[in-house]
Amino acid sequence: MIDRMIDFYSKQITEHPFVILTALLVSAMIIATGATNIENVSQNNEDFLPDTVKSVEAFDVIGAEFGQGGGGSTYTVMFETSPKYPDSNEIRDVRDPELLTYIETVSSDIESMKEVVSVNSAADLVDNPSTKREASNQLQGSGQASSYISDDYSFTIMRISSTDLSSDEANELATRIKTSVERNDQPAGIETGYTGQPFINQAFQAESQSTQGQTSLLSIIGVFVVVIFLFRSITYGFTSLSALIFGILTGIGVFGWLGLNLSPATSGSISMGMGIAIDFGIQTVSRYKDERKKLDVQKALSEMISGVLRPMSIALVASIIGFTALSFGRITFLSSLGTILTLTTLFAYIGALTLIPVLLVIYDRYLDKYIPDNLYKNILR
Amino acid sequence: MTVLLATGLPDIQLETDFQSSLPDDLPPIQTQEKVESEFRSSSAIIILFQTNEEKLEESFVTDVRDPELIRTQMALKDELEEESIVGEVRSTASLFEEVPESKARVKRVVERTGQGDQLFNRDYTATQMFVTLEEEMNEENIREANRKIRENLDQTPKQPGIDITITGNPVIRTDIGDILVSDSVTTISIASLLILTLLTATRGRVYGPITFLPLFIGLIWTLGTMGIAQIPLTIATIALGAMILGLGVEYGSFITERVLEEKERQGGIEDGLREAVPTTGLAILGSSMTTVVGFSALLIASISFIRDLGLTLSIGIILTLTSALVLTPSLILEYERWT
Repeated sequence: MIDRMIDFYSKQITEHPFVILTALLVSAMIIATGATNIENVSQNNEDFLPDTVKSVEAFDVIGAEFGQGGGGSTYTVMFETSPKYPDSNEIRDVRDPELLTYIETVSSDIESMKEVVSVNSAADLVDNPSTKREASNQLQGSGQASSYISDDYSFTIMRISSTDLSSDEANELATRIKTSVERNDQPAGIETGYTGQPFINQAFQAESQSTQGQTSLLSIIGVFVVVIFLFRSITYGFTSLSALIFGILTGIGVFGWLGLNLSPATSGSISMGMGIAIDFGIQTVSRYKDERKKLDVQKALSEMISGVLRPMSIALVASIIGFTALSFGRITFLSSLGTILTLTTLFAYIGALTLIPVLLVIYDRYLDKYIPDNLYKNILR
Repeated sequence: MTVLLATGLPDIQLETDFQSSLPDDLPPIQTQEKVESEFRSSSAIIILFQTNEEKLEESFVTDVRDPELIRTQMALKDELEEESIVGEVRSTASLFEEVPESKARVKRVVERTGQGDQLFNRDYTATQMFVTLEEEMNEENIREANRKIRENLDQTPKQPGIDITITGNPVIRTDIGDILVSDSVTTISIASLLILTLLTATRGRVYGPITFLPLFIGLIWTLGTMGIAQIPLTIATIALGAMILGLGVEYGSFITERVLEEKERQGGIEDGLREAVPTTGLAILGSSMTTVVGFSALLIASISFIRDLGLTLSIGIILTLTSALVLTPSLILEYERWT
């Protein structure tokens, strides 16, 4: 029964390769559009654990009820003296009234933002000082100067607490805080630094996005080079790679259609998917090459599919078992990682049994005379 | 070799500080380090006091401005400040020298300081106590502080109607650490059981376990290597065990299938092995090489835990392949000779 189905399938591929190729490419493109729904989201420590964990539950209460510290949205702006020219009027001590006035202006600006609960800085501890000496006395008198000013008076901080915000809102507020600091005229000789969880999350997101791009590119180049060496053929190397590309594009597309997102913790998943998915392409192409030595195109295709179907199916089921086991963990992103790897592996399996046979037939029937199999050897020669 | 590498298992370290995986030269990280070197870490352990609505009785505290709750906080603060690991303890109680006589007094004092938003929620059913550490906020110190806080909480007289929970980023980090370990054990156990069942169903009750055993040994080698090479168990490498089992199974599976095929064809196990191992070995070597190359791309990542993931997965694939190539034929041979 299965043999007859494989024969019928091989016959269809051999007789209508371009129709099947078009259908496959169109469906792959439609599915792949789902990838546009994927967002790279930031993650805090508490996002890794389910809400049922007591400490996370309490942390959520703090975020909702107090909207600071616990909620994770605490922003810190650092103002540091960095004079560039000797004997200039640049600020060399953060107790300078000009800087304190500037901080007061920025502080009021940020405080007016509706998501901001409180803004605390050294400017709160002084009352319009006209000289550095007066500012120093007022700061000393407050008893709280050491909470905002460094021992050597080279830098001072402003702490901003916000209400409980989603990661997008926290990111947006971080950008607005930066804009507010930069649009007010900064005194000469002052440099600004930003930290706190939302600023770190922004940096994390940017890093993970660039990491994802670089590692995916390197991964595909590396895998391509290895398969070319394995098959000693650029054409067969590319053909085996096609299942991987098909698997990654459609797998990521379905991931997007499911409404799932990537995070820093899953940013390596595309490279991992590539490493796993290429196996199916190698198995099908190498088996076809073996069979083609003694059989015609349709028969070789039929023998190839029946030969690889069982071991590839077992390998697919075993991989999916491994990835599905990840969903049994309590760490939240593990199920997303399991899903993305399951999808890319499953679609690479489908690609290996659909796209690769079609490409092999097209190459064998129509392109072989223009692009010989020994092109690789010719290039090396 | 298994015994030697297994000695590394207890040395596997936990790394739960998500932030520490970022490159040090990122501006927000540099600023954070500078700020924390001068001022105490803003990340405090938080003790949350909440009124318990479910078990409401006459004597229960229903408002966190209740002087009896301040008494509890004062006692706890005094006890905690005795501990060498604790730096500063801050709560409503810090605003009073003595237990205030009434709720109205608490209200007045807190209003005067302007800290009401930070200390109480809107309906006065929750208040928080912040505990910062004298020492660095590393895994060991956080666990120690957490233990001391729990011990002191147990000894402090508590008011009926108040639920007390310890939380904050440092506590969540230790919880992540505990769950990382338990999740690793759970996912490895479930994957092992399911893969063993699959192999037994497809290869029979002898060749199924014979194919599975080298895979599991390869996993022990990988985890042992992590311990010896001090590659930590992180939020990213937690998936390693289940993934290695899922990916490594095909190596042993192909070898077993091919050896048994050749045994039938050649008429004997030794000839079958001689024929099957070199050809299949070469084929799976090629396919594992592409997998390792795919994973190795992660080594260029700027985020350290993604690099660790690429490294451990590559090591895992190489070791499970080695184990499958060496152990699977040996086990089949021993079994065939024995029967």
